[in-house]
Amino acid sequence: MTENHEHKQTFRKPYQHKQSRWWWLQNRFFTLYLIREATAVWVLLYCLLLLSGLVSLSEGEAAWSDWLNSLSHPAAVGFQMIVLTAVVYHAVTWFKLAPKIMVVRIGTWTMPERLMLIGQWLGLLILTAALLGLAIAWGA
Amino acid sequence: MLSSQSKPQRQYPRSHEPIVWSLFGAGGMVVAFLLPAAVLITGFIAPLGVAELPILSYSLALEFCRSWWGSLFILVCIVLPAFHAAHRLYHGMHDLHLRGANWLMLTVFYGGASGLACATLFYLWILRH
Repeated sequence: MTENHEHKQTFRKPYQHKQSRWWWLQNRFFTLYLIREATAVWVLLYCLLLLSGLVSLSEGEAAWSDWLNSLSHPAAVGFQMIVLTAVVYHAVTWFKLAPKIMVVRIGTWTMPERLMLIGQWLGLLILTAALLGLAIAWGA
Repeated sequence: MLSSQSKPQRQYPRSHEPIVWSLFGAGGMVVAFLLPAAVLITGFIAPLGVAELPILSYSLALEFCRSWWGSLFILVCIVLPAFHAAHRLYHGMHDLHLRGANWLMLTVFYGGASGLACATLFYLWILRH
């Protein structure tokens, strides 16, 4: 890179391809990519739901039980079904990426992608079962 | 003289990418490994009455949020996914051609996630006092 190149006047006028706003509908790969990115919307909304629970807990017992009751509203159940789908889809794509980002080599042996994939799914299963078990057993 | 000419001292703006990407990566881990269980609890087991959850009673929930490990769990489950989502949405807006001034987009997305983090910390602090 040359010095002061930002002061040079240029007359280049490159052709700029006009991409449609709907480019991601052109093929399946693009669409799945954008669905993966869109899982973030549901994640963010779920963060806000958790925060609202924290706020109502700080407001006292009545507010807390109101929040708990609001969770059984059909809209809330439907919303959290979408969140669960989004979170699981995120996990599917995240686990697939991990062996490509982080290749594990021990000596001359390279860990096969499939083994890492199985390990992550097993980890998720064990962790989910442990957390659910802990939540149910706590104080029981 | 020569060496200073061959190595021009240019000031490049520092990229925010290393910081936000590590938060994005950590958040992605939390979303993949911890949030499924959290959503199953708040979305199915509690509202549909699949199992008794004494931990969601007012006194035990308060005790949980006041303990250091409980508040750490809550913090991790809210803040890291929020930064993860902010990073994806910041780049997703560009993908959808919804472009704005960069300082504005940075403020809205990463600023928003930081605000959420501050609010979480604030309410966890309130619960202890």
